[in-house]
Amino acid sequence: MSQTLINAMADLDESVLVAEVNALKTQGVPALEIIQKLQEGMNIVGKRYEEKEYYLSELIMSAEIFKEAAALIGGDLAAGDAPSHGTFVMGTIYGDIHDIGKNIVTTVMSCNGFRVIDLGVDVSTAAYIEAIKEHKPQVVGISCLLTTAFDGMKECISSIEAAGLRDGLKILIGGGPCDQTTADYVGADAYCKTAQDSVEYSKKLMGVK
Amino acid sequence: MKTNAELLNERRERIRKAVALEKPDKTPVVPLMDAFCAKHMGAPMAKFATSLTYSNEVMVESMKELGDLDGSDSAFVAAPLFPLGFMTRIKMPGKELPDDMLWQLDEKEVMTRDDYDTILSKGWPAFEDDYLRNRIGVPLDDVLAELANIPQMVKKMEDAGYVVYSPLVINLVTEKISGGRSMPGFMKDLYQCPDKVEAVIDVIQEGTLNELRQAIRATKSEYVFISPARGASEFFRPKLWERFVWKYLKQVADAILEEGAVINFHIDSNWERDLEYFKSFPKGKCVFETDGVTDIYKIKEALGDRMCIKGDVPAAMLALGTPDQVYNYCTKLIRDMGPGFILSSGCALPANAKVENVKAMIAAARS
Repeated sequence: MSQTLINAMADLDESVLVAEVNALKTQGVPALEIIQKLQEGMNIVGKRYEEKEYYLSELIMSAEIFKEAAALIGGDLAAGDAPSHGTFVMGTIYGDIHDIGKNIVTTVMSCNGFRVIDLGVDVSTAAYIEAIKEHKPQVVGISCLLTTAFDGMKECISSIEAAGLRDGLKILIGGGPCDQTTADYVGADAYCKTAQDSVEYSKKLMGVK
Repeated sequence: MKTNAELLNERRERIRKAVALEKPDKTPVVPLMDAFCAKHMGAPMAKFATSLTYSNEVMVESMKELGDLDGSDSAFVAAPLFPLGFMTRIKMPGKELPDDMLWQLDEKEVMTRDDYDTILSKGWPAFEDDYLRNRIGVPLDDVLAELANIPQMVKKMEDAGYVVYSPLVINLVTEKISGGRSMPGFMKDLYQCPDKVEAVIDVIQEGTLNELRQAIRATKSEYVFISPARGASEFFRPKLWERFVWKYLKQVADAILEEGAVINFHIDSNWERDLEYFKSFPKGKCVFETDGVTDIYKIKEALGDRMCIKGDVPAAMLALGTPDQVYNYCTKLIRDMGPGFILSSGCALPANAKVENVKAMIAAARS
């Protein structure tokens, strides 16, 4: 199996990666095996981000290249079938349409081997609850950039609890104005200052080394 | 009892000394005031967010009620001008959003890669005018008409005894392209067509430098506000950051300094990796304003002997904390930062900051 593919993904070498995916397809290598190698490359991207060799610019490129490769292999098959440490549902709370922070977190979590369900921005409580029921995540992330969204976070977390979905589920919050006081106020399990904090919290929770 | 004119002079001098790294009589307090003032005065957010003149009136009333703060970053709400700075649509209260909600940038990829070719062939001014009016729906004539009233707005705030700290805002080229293309789109371009991006930025930058020199001369602005938020170090590899962010930020900063004005770097997000770069600017001529994500103590350590620091009372503390917490935080900050310091909110005062917390912030600087 192709170490070249892993390296191309990790080094963000788009042309080599595309050529390699096409070559492997021609050779009849199963799609899932190709995806697993791409995911290995993404894990290296995640590691390099953690070590500050890569930044958001590289995370975005890695997501772009991964998407391109997945399309070559067969679209939605890719992300869904890749093995993962666990499931992470993430969105920006209703009343807030900022997405840069959310996108950083979802990309970093993806690079670190988590199955990520991105609910987008301005996400209603009902949408969070529906996603938790459907995808059964171990961790939910709620993001905001506005202090006026704090009450929405609080209501959302209370509703998740009232719906009987909080047992065994951890809820993380993050975003520009958030801090530990915010986490206490909204009833979250933890506040993540950086995207890497969400990775470390989730890995520890799921016993991933 | 001092007159407003006397207070204004006293506050100007206080800020001047802090910026020059001299010892002021008291620590200046200059928050970035906007949406908070609307909530504070019970003003309708939809009207406040869309009318510069009305926002100016509300801000002045809010400042008078707050009492002995020194000034505000600007004399009016910036929301209607955001699309010009970020080349992106904005959702406004009373239009796309409920009446009492905050305005928010609607970050979507409106500018395309093909637009780069248009900019290179037709030039930036023609492209910009068409883009703003027809692609993102900016009522440009209305906005420009209101901008003509800025001198009256500044005067209204000054007549009340308050300093308009940085009436002149210069929009940076990286913010424009990154906003128009969207952050992911821009970053992909830096990998997939970097030379073209650089050529486009060069074209826009040339106009920006000319315009900023003219604007400083025309307005006689002593302080110029620039906000390179989307160019934060935490977003880019060093090589990309040097080539596409720092190079252009430095050119703008140097031009502002050459015109004799002080630069207020409004710095959001984390720039800790690259603080050393700011040492290249002359002593006492710049202000590093942090939202708190770049650790203010690291800024003090790296740049405290060269530039004034402005910040960084946390938004969450102002919204959720108690007056005692705010007072203690500010007192510690004032003590630790020393003379070259202006007390401010981390970025804008949040709309839902408690009034008693904002007053506690001011009180800490007056005790």
